Amino acid sequence: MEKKLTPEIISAYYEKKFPIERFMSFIGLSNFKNREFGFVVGDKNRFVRNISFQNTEKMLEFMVKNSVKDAYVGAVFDTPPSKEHPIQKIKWNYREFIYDIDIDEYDLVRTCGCKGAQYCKECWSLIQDAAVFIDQTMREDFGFNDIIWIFSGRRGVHGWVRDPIIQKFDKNERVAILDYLTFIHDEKRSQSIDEIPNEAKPLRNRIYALTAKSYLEKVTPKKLHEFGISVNKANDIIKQVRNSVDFDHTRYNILIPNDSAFRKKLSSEIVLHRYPRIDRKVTMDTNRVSRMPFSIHGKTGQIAIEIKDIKNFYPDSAPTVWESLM
Amino acid sequence: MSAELPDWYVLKDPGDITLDVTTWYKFAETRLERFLAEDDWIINRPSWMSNDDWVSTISEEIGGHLLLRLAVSTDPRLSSWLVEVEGDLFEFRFISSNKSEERIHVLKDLYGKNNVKTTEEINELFNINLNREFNLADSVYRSSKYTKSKQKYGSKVKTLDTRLAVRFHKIPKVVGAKKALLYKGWGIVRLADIRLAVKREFEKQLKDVIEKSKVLIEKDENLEVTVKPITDRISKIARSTRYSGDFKNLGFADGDAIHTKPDIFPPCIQELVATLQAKGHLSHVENWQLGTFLKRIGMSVEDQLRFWYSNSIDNVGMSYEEFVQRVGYQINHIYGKTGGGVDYDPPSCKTCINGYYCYWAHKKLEDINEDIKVKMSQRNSEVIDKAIEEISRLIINQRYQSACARYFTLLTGWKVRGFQINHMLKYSQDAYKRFYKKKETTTNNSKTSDKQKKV
Repeated sequence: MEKKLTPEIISAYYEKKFPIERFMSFIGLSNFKNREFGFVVGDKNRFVRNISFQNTEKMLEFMVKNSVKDAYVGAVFDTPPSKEHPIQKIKWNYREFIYDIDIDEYDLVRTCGCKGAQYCKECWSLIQDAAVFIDQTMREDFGFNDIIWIFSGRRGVHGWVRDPIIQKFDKNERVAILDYLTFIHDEKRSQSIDEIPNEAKPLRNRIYALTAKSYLEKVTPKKLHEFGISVNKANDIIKQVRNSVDFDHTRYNILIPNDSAFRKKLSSEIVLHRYPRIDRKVTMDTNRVSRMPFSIHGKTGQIAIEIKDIKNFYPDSAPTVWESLM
Repeated sequence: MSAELPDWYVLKDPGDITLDVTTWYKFAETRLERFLAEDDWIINRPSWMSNDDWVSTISEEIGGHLLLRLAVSTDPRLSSWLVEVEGDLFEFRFISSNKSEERIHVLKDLYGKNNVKTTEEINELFNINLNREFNLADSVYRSSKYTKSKQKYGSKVKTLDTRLAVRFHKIPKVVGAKKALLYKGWGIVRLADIRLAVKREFEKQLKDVIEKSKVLIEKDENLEVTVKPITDRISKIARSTRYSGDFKNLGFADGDAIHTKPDIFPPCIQELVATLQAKGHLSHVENWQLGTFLKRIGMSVEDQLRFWYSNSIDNVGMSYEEFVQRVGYQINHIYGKTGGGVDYDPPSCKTCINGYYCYWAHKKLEDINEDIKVKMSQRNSEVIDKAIEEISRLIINQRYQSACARYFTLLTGWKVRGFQINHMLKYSQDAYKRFYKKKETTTNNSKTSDKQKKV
């Protein structure tokens, strides 16, 4: 029987179990009173924002008293956001750089039968691959170190990049990072894609080492045969990839010759089917509020926990509010 | 830092320069003449030139440039012109300089000294060998790619292939276009891939210093009077050099009210009209862009006054007569009926990209894609999706004028010569030819066939 997320349950969680110290270490102690929060409250699920608190006690008091169904955290401004001083009228100071990866972004290429917020082990691996790829790119290419992954509580994960320099980035600088990572430009993301670049070598090498490996491990020989190679050759490629323990771009280049038409078609397929699909609007919009780490997801009752091992994380392992209160 | 910057770098602190006004005029005039003549500019002191002559040549250049800065500071159109020509000269010298240290110092000045390094410095900093790690040594000079550049830069093709390191967030467009090899936050880039970004940064900073020098003019009436002859001179030159083509004779049919045909307006103008109607106001330069465009496609002063009166929020509670009295002088200025009596043309695409409004350069890519989809919803979706993809790539690669040309082709089925739109009026001229001249023919034909039917 499906459990009901009652106001009492919600309030009890925020009163007794919400890890306020961990949350505070997450968003940082300084300028707390100038940070925007947003909440879904009341029977009619009203979304309220432009809210700020003097201190964490006041915030928790609000969350307990209003039994907030969903809790969100936003940017830091030069004055405390409020109805009288909405964020549009006050000066923006900084905001973490946030990636949002949702499984429904892959609906057009999921072959397991799941749709929307549904997921299974097979399609969830797309989220795992995307997070690993982005994490590595942010560290190795962009030089950031402070990256944390949070379960969204339902159908995806959020990557928080918290290095001080990136928090000050304006929209253009954020878009540059997104563009670097983007290969498909239409909204449905079903079109053919940008060619894998020659100049951005680390990015290119990572696509071959991670994304191509993942694709080739799961693809059928029949599918590869469609791109113009024999079934035997296809079988051989798949076998070699599956058996390879340290697959990298060099290995890929040996397996798939650079000048072949097959390679071109394959590259396109790899990116289309397994490359990270990022919700750009979330990352670009410096005023957007994101789910508060360690808060309850109003639809599932799951807790937006910190993910320690993104490569092996599966949503079922995230606790629910009922489990937390036991 | 300044001591290491090359002498030709006009953003360098000039130190104290003492000049009498006559000499100052002469220097400014000379610089203007040289811009006009597309003269050869010296980059380094030639071996035959004495040091004293070199110092006086450079003083002449810098002195001339400083006066030009002051002279254009109060007029955004003239300021755009100066930024454009100085930007071209900067790009030429930056690429042509045979001293790589000079380039590094210029980059450090533009982007901040901690944001630029040589690849050797990166190797040392991270204890890596970039060439070996990423097979960079195997890269051959991309001379074929630079066929055009080769004509312009001659033996500098090799220079264009030189790599250096810039902090990635200082070159966002280059990073976004995947033209940089990123390593631990540093963009390892070829000079060829960064030169446009460097030029833009130079132009941005020059624009800022011109804006700052406006304060000097505003504070000092005598100075304003002093620079006036040069301002007038630039005004004339800017008018005569900036626009190619005869925009007073666009080939529109006599009596045809082109301003009632928004389908032939380029996307930038359509967007400005939509913004004006939605928000009730535009920025000063956007007002100018739209106003000069409407003038050149044949809108009368009176029609334009009515147009602005009905669309701008400045007129709330104001009668039309009051509006004409208070705001009308700007419109009259565009038509040359006030001010210096200059009959202005709208800015070129290049100027719009750098300082006015360009739909492709300044609107969000997602919104552009959405606009095209909505506008072309009746067309074959495969064709539209393919075009959107191509346009997106052009925008990402900062080829805004080509994106506009691709859009024009999608809209009209006509190819654009040179595959780039250079001027908003040219866009409208061609769109008119495509949609209205043809329609006239079709209408005539259909009239004939009606007659035939009746017979």
